[in-house]
Amino acid sequence: MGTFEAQLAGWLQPGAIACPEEESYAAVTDLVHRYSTTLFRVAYSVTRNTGEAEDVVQETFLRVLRHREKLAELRDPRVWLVRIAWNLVLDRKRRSKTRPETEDIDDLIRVLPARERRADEELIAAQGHSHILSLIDELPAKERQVLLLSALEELSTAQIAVVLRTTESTIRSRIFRARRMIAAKLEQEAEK
Amino acid sequence: MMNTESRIDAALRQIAQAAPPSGLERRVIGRLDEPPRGFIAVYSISAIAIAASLAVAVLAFGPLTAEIGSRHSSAALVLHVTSPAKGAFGAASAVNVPSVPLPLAATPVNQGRGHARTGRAILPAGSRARHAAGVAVRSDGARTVMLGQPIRMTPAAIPAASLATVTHR
Repeated sequence: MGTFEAQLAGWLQPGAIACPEEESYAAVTDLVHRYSTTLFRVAYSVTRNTGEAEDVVQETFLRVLRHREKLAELRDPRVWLVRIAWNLVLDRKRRSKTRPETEDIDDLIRVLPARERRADEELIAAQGHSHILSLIDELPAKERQVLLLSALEELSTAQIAVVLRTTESTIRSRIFRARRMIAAKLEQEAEK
Repeated sequence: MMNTESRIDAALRQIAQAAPPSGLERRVIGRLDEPPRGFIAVYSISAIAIAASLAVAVLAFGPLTAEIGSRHSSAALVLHVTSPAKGAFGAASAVNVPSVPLPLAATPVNQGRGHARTGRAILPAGSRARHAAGVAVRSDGARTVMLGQPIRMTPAAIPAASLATVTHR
């Protein structure tokens, strides 16, 4: 994961002046309002647990607050924040060694976007999603990570490439490979 | 029936559009306003350490102060014993102890290089000097120095009062 200073490297504008304490605190709270939902989704895609995802969001902004004097120098705060949250959630997952709680159907239903659907339809949809997500969890780490990040509408392929420190073409090929693997598993299950 | 691609898309969309719990931003900002957890942890650890050291001090010094108190009370008891009535308690009784301190005459062995300025004999230093092995007190009060021979006295031969007197002198 590396240190926070290492994560800042390459993201700072050369020659920018650090802002005063009050301004930097206001900048952090502004980032909270703008990006906390995005970061929650990033964290939730890995944890599938709302409580843990919220913890990751809080920890991300705590780290930002500790280094708030450098905020004015940031070039792309969205990608930078996603990268911090992504590293945090992967680190948590590595330490806990637990699988995402895809079986928690209630939680899945709760986070589903509000739609005009009946409760039983919601339940069936959540169960179907839970199965697909369990297949995603069985993918190799690189394909799984790219697929999860690609699902976020807030991030373009170029931004995902920056977060994962790779090229856009690699991202595209991994997405294609991941989808093909899941489709193959689903077709195998359908044949049985 | 949805096809495979649309099923995958629907599952991914569900993650991508997950609604955060209400009040997330408020809680995050509230957390940012809190003092750092490390700061609180240091203070709580310090408080626990102080409490623990106080408890240890109470445990350690409690019995000691009680012992000192009991010593004072036992010393007071001994003082009562050291003034026996005349004619009692054998060799160490007031009858046998002279009222005036008697100077101890230096024996040839005790005379070393030093000179007695205060009336006392000065024992020569060095490994070759011979020292008295002990002092025995006879029942008639006279003292005898027995050189090179250890004195054997059974505890039964020493009266309790004399032991108490020697111990606290």
